[in-house]
Amino acid sequence: MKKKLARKPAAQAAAAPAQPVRLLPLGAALMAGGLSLSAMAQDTATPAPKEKALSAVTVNATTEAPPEDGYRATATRVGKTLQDPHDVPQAITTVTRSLMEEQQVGSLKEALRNVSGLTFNAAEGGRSGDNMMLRGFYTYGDIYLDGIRDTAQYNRETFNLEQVDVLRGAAAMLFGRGQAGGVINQVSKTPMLVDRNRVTGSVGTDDYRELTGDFNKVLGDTTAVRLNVMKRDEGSWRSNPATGTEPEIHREGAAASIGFGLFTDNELIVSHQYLRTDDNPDYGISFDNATHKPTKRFDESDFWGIDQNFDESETNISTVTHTYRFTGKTQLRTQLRYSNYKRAYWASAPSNTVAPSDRGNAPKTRKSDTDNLVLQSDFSTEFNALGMKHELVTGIEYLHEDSVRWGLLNLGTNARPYYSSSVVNRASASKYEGDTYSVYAQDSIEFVKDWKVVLGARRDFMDAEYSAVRSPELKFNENSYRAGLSWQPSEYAHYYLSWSDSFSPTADLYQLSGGEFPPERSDVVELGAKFMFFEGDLAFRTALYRATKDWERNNDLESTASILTRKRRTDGLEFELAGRITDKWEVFAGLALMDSEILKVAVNRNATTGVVTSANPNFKGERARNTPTYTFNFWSTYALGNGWKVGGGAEGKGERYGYNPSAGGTAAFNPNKAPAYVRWDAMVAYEQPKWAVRLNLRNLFDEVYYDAIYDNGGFTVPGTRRSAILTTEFKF
Amino acid sequence: MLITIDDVLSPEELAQARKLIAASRWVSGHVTAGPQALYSKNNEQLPEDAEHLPALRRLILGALNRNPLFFAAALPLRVLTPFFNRYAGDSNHYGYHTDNAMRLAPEGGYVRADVSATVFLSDPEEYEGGVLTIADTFGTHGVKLKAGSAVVYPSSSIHQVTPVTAGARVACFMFMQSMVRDAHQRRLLFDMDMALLQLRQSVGEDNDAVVRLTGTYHNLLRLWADA
Repeated sequence: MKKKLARKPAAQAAAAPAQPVRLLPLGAALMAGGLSLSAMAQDTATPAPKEKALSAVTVNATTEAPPEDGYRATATRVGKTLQDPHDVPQAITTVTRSLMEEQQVGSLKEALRNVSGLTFNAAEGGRSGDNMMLRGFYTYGDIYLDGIRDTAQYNRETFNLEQVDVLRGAAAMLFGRGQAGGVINQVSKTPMLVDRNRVTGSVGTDDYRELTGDFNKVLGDTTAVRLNVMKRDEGSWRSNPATGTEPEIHREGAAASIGFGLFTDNELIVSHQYLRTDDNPDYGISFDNATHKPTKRFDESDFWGIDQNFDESETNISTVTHTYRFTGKTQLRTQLRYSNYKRAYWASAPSNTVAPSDRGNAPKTRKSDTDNLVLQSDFSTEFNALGMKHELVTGIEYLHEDSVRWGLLNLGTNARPYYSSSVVNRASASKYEGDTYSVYAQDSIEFVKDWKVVLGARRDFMDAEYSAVRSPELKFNENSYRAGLSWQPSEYAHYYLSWSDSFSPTADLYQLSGGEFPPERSDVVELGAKFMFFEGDLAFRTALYRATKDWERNNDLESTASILTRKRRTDGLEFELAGRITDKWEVFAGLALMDSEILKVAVNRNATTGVVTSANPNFKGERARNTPTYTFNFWSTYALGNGWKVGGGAEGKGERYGYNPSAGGTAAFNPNKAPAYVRWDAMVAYEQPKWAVRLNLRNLFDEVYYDAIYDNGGFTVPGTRRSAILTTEFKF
Repeated sequence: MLITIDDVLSPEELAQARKLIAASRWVSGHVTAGPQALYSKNNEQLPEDAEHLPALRRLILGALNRNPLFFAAALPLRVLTPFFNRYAGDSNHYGYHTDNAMRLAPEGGYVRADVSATVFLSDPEEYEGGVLTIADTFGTHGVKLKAGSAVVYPSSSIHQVTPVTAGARVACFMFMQSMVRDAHQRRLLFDMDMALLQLRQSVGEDNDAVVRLTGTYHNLLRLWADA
């Protein structure tokens, strides 16, 4: 099966006697004898040779790499056109490549630890994979790649990312249907007109190994090609006490892009991104029903998974981006993307009563296959009319989504289940197929000097079908709006008041409005200020907001309850700092205070009986799930001279609740609680122009902390214990 | 009956197989062809004395040995050692043929070829053409699977590999004697097995009807199997 990482020899020895599971299809019971050439067959493949150390790299270019932006991003497209984030009248956090590299970040999740007001859900069912809450609202329909929906459920990697932009607030006018928290937009690396190559190799505790390569080659005056590759393996500090099996991460990816006419009036970029994941998933540990805290009955290091568990995915994303610049500030940008996401997993859920065994526990399985086709075209221009300066952006978008998901078929017995990623339970298929057509326009008008108003509107026509137990057709025509007032008295200060809304019937997200309720509706009003210090080297922003959501829904069609809360709200205050305080001292920090509240509890209609029920009235006025009253993060580095650099930081979140807000009854409100935590990290690096060595220490004080919580409350996943990663880097 | 099985090889096994093959030397595929096949066979094969052949065979058989679907579909009694072939350049196709019925086993004696299996080692994107086309009693099927996946089909069918016009197609193929020599009977058993799996799943192992149908499966196997 998969190459297994052995954290310690004892674990390996314990895992060794694992036999192929026997009780399978009836015909497969005959496997017990093995193939007739059994002597040969049972002596399985010769072990793969160890990965070779990096061979010496030949330095063949004299060009120095262009300077990095550091922690302060100077460009983003998250406001639809290429802008300085400072100028966008909405809260934006940008995690830059420099920051991700210095922290030796591999996954999107790890990168997003730098974003305040963001929390992680532990995954289950159709929504496992990247699953974050932003300002207390879920975001699984709001993850984008280069401005295009990337909403399939999988675990994303950062090896091909230039930066990650998090735009807070309802953003349907800019991005189409979505929720109240905001959007997470990943920005891909693109070809550059400079030869630049970078290779890194890392080793670490818990069998951490990673190789990455980033190669850019200029092929002509305006033509260049770029290739990014990554392979990473990780074990864990957790293991199954019965078998020694550990959660594991095995990821590999490659992304290639070629650009023609780069930085000319007629630019074409063609790219393909491939990502394969092959993990042994970790569902964490249970809450104790009596104490409502993470269980103490079992050790934190206990893992309920078994060797046969898997979480496999394969993602292919092909994109063509064409930009035509007419004159000056007028341009037409068109993107066409086809993407396919395949995923299958078999996970074992933790238990508060059953100890981890060699058989796995409460199997969770899913297989899904998603195809998306997107065509979007933005036309942007600037002009003067009625004595005022206008920046106009208009666009159209077509989105075709086609997805199917199944449970896997148990090929074993109930007592000893066995699942194969290639055998689905055909009876459990749920299909979603949808076409969305959108048209939008936004004008940013400077009506008096330094004062701007932004007005935008969008209309989405959605025609979709969801087939499972019931097969409703879904037709929605919804408007979304955005408005903002900006005052920029100087280049270095921006005060704004903005309002935006969004809608989401969310049928594509393994959930559905069921036809009986209107789509979710969110709106956000935000008062904010952005300042730049030290001539733009250091950016500071603050925002005071109120985000409200109606008809918050969650469950899929087969459930009798689809509405989680009828109305809910988060009021919050955020502060963030990004950039350089001196030439040697860099900082990236955030603090988010959140006050969330359920204003009206859920009202649900039973899908079969039609009976209407209300959720527990005691939920009213209580704090929302996985929405701590505070989160904070900071990371700072200082260059000591002679190539030495030291750094470190912390990430912390307040106590978080996990409970099902649509549950009925009249019991007192007493949710499961994941405790508050602070995790400290440190880094020391020795950097030379052509090479560098860096040591990252994670969870310096070896705290047991829980960074992901299953939002319905069943379990919580502990984060990494103390670990170290040593990285060498070559540039040529 | 034609059954495809995804991901017979793990990614690591596939990578290992490809590494071993990349380090191997190929000879003309005529070495294992019967007199008639000489006219239609035009490909390359790993010779019996190829350095990495034993490791490759172990790898493939190891993967098949743990695959329940493969067992349920083929009901293998004796599996002949797998072969490896390559279609590329001028040696790029293998016209319609039926596999030889009886083959000498390395350990002596004859093995009847009831079931053939192909494990793809090149991804479809790596070559053009090279479609395994199988004409059986249910019609003609074109098969081109991703690397690491396998197709199992009756040796009695007429099949071909269409010319590879670009790139290289590397695959592993093998023959086996099934406990159930008749392809139709094998298919009935497989269908019944799969349907029973769903039933066992939904109504439970101890359901009376499931128990009796399971008995029927075994009794049919008793009736038809010649192990």
